[in-house]
Amino acid sequence: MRNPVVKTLAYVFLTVISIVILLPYLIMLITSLKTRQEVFAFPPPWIPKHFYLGNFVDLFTKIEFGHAMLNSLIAVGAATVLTLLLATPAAYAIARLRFRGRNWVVSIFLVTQMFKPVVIIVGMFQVMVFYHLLDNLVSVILAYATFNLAFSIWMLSSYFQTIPPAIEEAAWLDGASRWTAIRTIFVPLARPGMVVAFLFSFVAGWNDLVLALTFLRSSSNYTATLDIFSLVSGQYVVEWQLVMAAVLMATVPVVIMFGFVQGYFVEGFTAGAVR
Amino acid sequence: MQTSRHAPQSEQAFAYLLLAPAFLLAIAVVGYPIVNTVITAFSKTNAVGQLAGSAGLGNFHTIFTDPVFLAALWRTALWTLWVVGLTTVISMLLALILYEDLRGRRVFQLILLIPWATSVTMTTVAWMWTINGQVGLISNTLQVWGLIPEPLGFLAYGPSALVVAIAIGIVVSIPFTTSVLVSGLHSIPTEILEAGVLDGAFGWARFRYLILPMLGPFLTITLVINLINVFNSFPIIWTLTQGGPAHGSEVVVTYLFKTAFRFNEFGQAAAMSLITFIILLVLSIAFSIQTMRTRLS
Repeated sequence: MRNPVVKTLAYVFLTVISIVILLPYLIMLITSLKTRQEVFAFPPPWIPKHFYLGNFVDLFTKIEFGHAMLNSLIAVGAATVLTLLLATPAAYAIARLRFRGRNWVVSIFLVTQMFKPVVIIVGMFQVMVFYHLLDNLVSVILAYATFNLAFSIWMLSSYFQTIPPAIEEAAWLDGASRWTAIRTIFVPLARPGMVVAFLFSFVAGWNDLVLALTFLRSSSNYTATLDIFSLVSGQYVVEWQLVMAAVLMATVPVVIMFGFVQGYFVEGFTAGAVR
Repeated sequence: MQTSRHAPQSEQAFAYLLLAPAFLLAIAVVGYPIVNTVITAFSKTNAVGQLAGSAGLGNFHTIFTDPVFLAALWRTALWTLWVVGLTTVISMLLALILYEDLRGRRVFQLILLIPWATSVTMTTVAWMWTINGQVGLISNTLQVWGLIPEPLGFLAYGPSALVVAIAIGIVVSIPFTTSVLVSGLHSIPTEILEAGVLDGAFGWARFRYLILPMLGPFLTITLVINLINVFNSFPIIWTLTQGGPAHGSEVVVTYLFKTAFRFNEFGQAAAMSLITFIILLVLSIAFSIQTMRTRLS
């Protein structure tokens, strides 16, 4: 970019977009460090007088947000592990093996990708009633795992196709069984793809509102997202300093995880998207 | 690899064995609900969603004579077009800029990760607080400075609430879209882009006839994924207004949810699901045909 006018315009554009993106998160950070009095004062101070950490204590002692975080970690963690356990073998079959109906299997998984949970929420509700899983974390675990299957299989099988089969075949010649070859040769090579699938599934589950809202009834079963929603929606007075502390709590772990695997992330995704 | 006729029996059996667990879970948790939703759409239902005899096309007749549903359908089209359209334009500009070797590029890429990593519901809650009129920082500051006569009240009116929802929808869609488009640009041979993408009288001709066609597949992917996601997007509007006030920001999915779980009209909600699905199917097929056509020509 050699034209200085274009360059300046580019920077202006980046700055404006950055401000718009960052503004709510900055206000969130400021608010979570204020006392209740400061939050509800008029005119409100932009910068808190001293950084007050009491809200983060109140999260655990007053509103039991720790419990909701734990529910989220259990539900999303279990669902993500389940997704990978089921998607990895399926993706391997699609990427490596010859079998009748291969194209059908691929198309069916792609079509299910179009069903977002909310579109079939009536059927989902009826089915969870049928399985007696309403107000049980297992309901969201099964639902998250299944809704992530299609994408994970798609992404993983595209990634697996980039791993040369010759490496495994060499192991067979050395007398290794198919299973041994998969375990010792294939899985280590496939790890970057699996990391990306894990992250995508985790974030998708962490993001969910509609399934938790439909299946979970008692507040002791709420996930973090549902809990934050319930702190805001339909409340006459919202304790914003607590809500913002809760959002911050629930966001930081995911942001850190993202930062660690950012490199993998975009690469893995585009491998899945384009090939 | 694709010639299944010559595949040995043991390899086939092994493949089915590997696919079976994923398939069974998908059938139990998604397949069964899909079938159930379709059946429910043509049935009468009681207050807890159990089927109570056939309704024929009754549910469809009810929803298509319901002005709230028709308005929600139209609003969904507007909401989807605005979010996907503006997201695509802004992300394209960002991608062209981020392709350049600018100082501070890494910082901006990190900023883009934040809305991506934050749950959409939580981002929406943060925005709700940011534009809050009663005790919000911005509203009160603007009032103190005398820039606005009364507190901000975006969420008190349907149309302005929808504008807020669209803005949030764009912010949360930009990171994904931009990343895909940036990798798309990187896949173009560098000789073509050697002088940089933004040079030369803003390079419109080059963008239109050189870069855009090569970005085609990437652009299609972002468009299809964004269309499906935005059309189905529930948390932003549900968190902001729950479709209110007075159905003023209602879209199909929020009205569907309300119809099922507030009004207990499961049959009508299922009929709305079916309509939604048909629209999505038509959109996706249209897109695939379009993509194939551009590839063939």
